Amino acid sequence: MNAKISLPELIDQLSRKSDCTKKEAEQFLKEFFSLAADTVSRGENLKINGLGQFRSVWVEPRASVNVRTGEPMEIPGHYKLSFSPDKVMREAVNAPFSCFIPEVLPDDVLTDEAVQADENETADEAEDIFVGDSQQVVAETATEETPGAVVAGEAADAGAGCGQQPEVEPAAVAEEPVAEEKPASAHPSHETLMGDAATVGDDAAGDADEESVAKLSEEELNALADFVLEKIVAESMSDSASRRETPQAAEETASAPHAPMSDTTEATAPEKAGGTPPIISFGGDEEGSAGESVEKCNNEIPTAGAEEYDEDVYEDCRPSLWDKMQQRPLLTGLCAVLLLLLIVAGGTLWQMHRRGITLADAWSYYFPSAPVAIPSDTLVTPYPVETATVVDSAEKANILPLTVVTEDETEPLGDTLHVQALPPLTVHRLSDGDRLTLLALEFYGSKDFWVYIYEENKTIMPNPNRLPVGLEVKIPDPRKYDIDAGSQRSVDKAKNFADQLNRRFE
Amino acid sequence: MEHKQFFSILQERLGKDKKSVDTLYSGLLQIIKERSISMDSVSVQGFGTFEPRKKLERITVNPATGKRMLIPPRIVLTFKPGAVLKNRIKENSAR
Repeated sequence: MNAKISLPELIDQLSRKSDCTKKEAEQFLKEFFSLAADTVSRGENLKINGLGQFRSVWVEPRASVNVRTGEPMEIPGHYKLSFSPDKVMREAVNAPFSCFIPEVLPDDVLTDEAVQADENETADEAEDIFVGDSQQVVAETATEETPGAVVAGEAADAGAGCGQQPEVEPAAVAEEPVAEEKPASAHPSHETLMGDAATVGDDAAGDADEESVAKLSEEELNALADFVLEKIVAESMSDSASRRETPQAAEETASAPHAPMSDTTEATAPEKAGGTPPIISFGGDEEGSAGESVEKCNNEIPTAGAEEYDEDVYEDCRPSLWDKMQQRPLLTGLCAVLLLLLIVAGGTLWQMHRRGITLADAWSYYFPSAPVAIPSDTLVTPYPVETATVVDSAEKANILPLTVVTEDETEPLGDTLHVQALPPLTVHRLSDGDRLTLLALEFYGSKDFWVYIYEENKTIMPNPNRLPVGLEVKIPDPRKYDIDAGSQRSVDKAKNFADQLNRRFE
Repeated sequence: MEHKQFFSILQERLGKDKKSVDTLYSGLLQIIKERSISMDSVSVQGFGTFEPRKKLERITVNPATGKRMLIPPRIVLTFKPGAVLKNRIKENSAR
């Protein structure tokens, strides 16, 4: 570890490794490195396969400070030698760590950066809560104001509180406090004016005054709406959706307080309370859009942080698709479900194909009573699924050990196979050159009935195409499987069965 | 200068055939590799030092996607030019 060898040792090792004299090795190394040094110092790039590439890189002149004297000085521009190892060399050197690969961090992992982001978010939330509270306070003061008592001082206090505190709040985005301060300070003044109007209205003398107040508040609201509109247009130029929404909200809030004022000449406390909620909602809307724009800003920030860009790492990962997917969760979910369904359906079909089960078979399995034209031979097959069918449909039938008997009455086709418990005709010992087809020809008179021999011996015979010599094969009684070489129906049945088997062992 | 050119000049200077130069070069490569794997360095007077360095794992941000990535630790072969070579290069750039 961390030992250093110099040229003499290098010569020594090389002479041993390459089986040559020390002199040769020394000559080679000296020439090699002097040539390399010559080439490099001429400012040329030098590429040596297996080792790496030496490059001259221009370093710009830069200002610095003399460490001893502290005087500013300029380091003149110069060439610097950079070395990047060859791929083979790089991988060989990195072999102990080659098991590691770069990994994309999930968003919920907390690092310094993430913690900072969280703090920003909580600050935003705190602001949200605070604004909501102040509005509640305003609303409460409004409802508490009975027609007789005007608590202008309170309202003013609340207004002062609202106006000041957002400034004190630490803000993540510089523009935000301005946006919040404005509506917050505007509301309380509006409230106090309305409170005044209430007292005047109670005296039943100042109708005109009240109208002017109403106008005043209207103007105020319009100005506010305009301001917010401008603000939002300026803030979220790209987000057209939010731009469209918020002006509407502003218009609504502008018109909403106007309605109760014109309807009633007597402004009572409950009505005032009714007038405030739109303002609150207005504040909420504005807050929401502001939040959106903040989010947009946050999204754009990482793009700016291009300092630590590592080409090697990002060569092959540009997961913009993932981003898109995250933006549209509904569509993605739908796609995922569809894909899943497709996979399940495909898998089922493939499995069925592999086992040699046709769709009709499956249908008859799930709907045993349905009158589907089932090929009769499907009832007796070597597959566990179908024997299960047989057992299901023939529950009432006699189930004998080792064999299953189905009754004609249960099957309307009458084409069913009698599987009876009969002792095997004989036991044949397989010798070299024996084929099931030849056995079938010998015992039943037709090659097509080999399938039944297989069926009888499938527990000891893994593959009908490969027969182990010396195996003792039971030749079933022809009556057991309804074997009749003279009957076309029986032969066809056997052929169908053979087709299925062949498909299975392909 | 590319590999081929470099080695043809080297052959001329040494007065040897290609095969013997290749065996010597592969021997040199092997030595550097072995030394690097055992975290030892090779220093050549007048040229510089080949030294393996361990780099710590770090977190970077892909500016294209904004994803944070964990770059695993790795060992890289570094080359530090010696004083002589450095000065020669500097002189060259001064001219």
